Amino acid sequence: MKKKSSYINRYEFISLVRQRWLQFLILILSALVLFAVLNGKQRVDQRLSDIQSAQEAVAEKDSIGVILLDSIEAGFTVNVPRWYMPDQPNVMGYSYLRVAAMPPDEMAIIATGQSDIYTHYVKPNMYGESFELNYTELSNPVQLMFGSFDLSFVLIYLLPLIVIAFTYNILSQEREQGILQVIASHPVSVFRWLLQKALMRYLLLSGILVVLLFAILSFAGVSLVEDIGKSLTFIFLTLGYLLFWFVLACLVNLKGQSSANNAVWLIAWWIFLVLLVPSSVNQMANSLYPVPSRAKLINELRVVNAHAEEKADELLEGFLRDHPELAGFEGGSVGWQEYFATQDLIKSEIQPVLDEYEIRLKQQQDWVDQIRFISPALLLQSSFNEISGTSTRHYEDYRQQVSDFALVWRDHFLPMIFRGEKFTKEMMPGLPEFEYQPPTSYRLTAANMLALFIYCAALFMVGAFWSSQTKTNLLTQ
Amino acid sequence: MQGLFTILSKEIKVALREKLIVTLGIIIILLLGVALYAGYVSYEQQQATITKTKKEKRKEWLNQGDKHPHIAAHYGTFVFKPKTILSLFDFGLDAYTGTSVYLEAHFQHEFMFRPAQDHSSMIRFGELSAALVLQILVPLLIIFLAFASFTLERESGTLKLLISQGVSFHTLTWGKILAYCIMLMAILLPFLLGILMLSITGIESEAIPDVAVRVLLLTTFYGIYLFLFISLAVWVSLKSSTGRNALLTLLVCWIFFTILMPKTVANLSESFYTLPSMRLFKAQVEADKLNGLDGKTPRSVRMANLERKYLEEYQVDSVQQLPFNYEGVSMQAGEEFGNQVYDYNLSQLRGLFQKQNRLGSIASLINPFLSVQHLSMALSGTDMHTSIHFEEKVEAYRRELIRKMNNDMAQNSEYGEFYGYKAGSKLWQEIEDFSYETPTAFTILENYKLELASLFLWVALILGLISYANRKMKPLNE
Repeated sequence: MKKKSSYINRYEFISLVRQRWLQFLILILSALVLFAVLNGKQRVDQRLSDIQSAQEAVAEKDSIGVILLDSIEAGFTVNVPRWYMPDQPNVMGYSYLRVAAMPPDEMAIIATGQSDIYTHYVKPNMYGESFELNYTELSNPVQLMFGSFDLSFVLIYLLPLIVIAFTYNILSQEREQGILQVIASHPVSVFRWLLQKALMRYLLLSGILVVLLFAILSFAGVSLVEDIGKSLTFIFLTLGYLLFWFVLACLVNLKGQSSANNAVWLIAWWIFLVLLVPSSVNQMANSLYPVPSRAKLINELRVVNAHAEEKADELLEGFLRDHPELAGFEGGSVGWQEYFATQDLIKSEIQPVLDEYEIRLKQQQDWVDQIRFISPALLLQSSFNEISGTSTRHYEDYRQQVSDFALVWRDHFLPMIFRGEKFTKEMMPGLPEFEYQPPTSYRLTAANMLALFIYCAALFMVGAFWSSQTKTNLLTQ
Repeated sequence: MQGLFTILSKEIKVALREKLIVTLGIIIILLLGVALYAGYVSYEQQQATITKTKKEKRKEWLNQGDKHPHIAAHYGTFVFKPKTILSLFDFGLDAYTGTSVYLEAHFQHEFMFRPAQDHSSMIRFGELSAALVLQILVPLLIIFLAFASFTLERESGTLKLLISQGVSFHTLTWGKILAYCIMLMAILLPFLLGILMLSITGIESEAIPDVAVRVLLLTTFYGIYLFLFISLAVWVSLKSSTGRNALLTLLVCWIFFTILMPKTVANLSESFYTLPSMRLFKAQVEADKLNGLDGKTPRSVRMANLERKYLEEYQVDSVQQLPFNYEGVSMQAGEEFGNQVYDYNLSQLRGLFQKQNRLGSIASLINPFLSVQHLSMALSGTDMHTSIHFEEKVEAYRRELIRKMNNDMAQNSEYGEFYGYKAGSKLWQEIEDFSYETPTAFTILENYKLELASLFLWVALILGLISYANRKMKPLNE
């Protein structure tokens, strides 16, 4: 038995090489993966250099600030208007800002996700509200619509097509050439024989793919051994997805139709799972859980703002009641206290609108999260975005972190302003810094992986059941 | 002629017997219906929000109370991009262009908040629009329908029989093409009626002046596009030895045209012409405002020049002696300089966009999918040019608003009395509410000459290929 299967494998391998299938496969896969990875790399490099130049600008400004502070503390007069003097804490809090950056993940090259829509650094200041910060990146809407030619596109859209081209006639061709009848006259079941053939091709394609991914990703400077957990998840997901399409192709072959019919059915499945289901899910998500526009949010903020300014005086009293530590310092400015008191009111009044926005967005996310199990393409895309740190969730999280940091930044200067204190050179190193903490998402990707393998197993069972039912059909058709 | 009809009716009968074809036809009718309905729902939702907010904004502007005109100019107002009724058919760039803008003195706020930001990341799979079905899925149906049109006859030997009975290839080919056209029309008829009804009923509140012309043009362009695919499929089938070969050739073409090439072109053009980041762009605008476009004329110098000019013109010693409030004048001068700087930087940026999109237009010469997609967005009012047209109108409105505020300040207030003077609702009413109308269909189509040329070139090419193949075919020797 063992000998027989090795014969089949050898024959299969030789015929694939003779038909130039393998050569074609390696060529086309390398070209696609290389192009995608280079695209991804360009994007990631751009992101890194944007952040770096922002940080350099901050460092430069800081050094000027230190020189100015030095002169001021030494008692010299400096030729700077009052509203640029860094010894004023409000000036520090307004113009000597920190960069709150979201550096790309090690694996960001894999999936562009939402990274082409958002900026990756902002500089929150102590005035205004952090949710007013605009994270929109400059981009050509046409490019956004077509989306990025990234690795996830190659793996999710194109890989199944390669699998289809590789397997649509795996059984039908043998029947059309009359080999199947010969095989069936031997003591090996057609199902088993098909399985062996498909397995051989699957392992071959997997091997080529893994080697290519490793080679090209390391060429682009992505180390797949650095975060071994993530890399393995990425590889397993890809192989699982590949397996799904192989099993599906075998199943279609088992239906016992002509090669052309198999191709039609497989393409129909591809359209359904990769194009139709995801775009319908989107459409439904928008109709079921429409998210109020952010513009509306900003709009309501302005109404509240105008309202709050009118009653700033009354507000101050209440504010000082809430913040007794900030009251009653000689030399502190009542104007500032009024300003921040108003800000607090605005914040509490706008909160319901803000919450509505967040809740709706979360509802939409949750709904899409639940429904993602209906298509392996959705499963894979959601996992890839998670691994790359480029999902909407990541950007939401980043926004939240920036928002928290903006508060920390404000609160760092507030007491100084209220007490009328000066900012000194020694305080410079003690300024709060922002560090982005990427959210962990192992559960999501693990669930996706599990779902993918359940898919494969279920299809496999269907195949086994069918073949036991339709054995004679397969040969005669 | 008789032969043509016989072939035509035979093709339709055969197709109706195919379970897969009938199923796919039904699925496409359903999809078009669902896509159109979903498009309508989201159109209604968004339109309602926009109308409501617009009313609120107007009320807010009119009832802002007495205040200094410059404060009002800073208070500003919001403008929303109206949805066009045809956007329910083709969403186009709507998810990716900004939808609202804040109008304020001194600053050109770029269009904020792309709707795609407010979605889960799956938005990047695209949305199911009726246009998408017509552009991508219907061609696939055509391929499934027509790939075996000749190969089946050839493989089963009926081709020889037909030719020996004196049926010409010409009759055979056109009989088949016509049959597929009729079947497709039958499938698309309910949809056509639907979109026609929607566009007629939804006209009153419209930002599009010529919906009927647009629908007509859309129908024509899609008609040509689908005819192209039908002819291509029949031609490939005519030239192929087996059904399998014909199918694979057509599928490779389809994948290349609709999936692979558009994305590749978009990404290449992005790599060729890299955009600056938003922050860099804004920083450049600020730097130019501060130091002048030449980098050598800072604000203080510009202000001193302006002051000198007015003092000389009116023969006075100080700005206080001028017959109007000089602050209003200097404010407006600053505004105009800011506009100049912004226009310069924006035109640079738009130049980049244009270069990027130009590649797509050139690519459409070899890819009819791209040309029909561009034309469809253009006619639905969801393309880049309509979006830029809207932005320009908004900016013109903003400038007029600020100019009126500054003029009022110059005419009616005294120098230095910033808190003293207050304008009232009379001034606010002088500012008309913003309303937008898209350019006419023919104006917008002027930007799409390459796409139009592409469609006609493709038709010529396919007709040429078919007539050449018909003349050269020798079935009996095969």
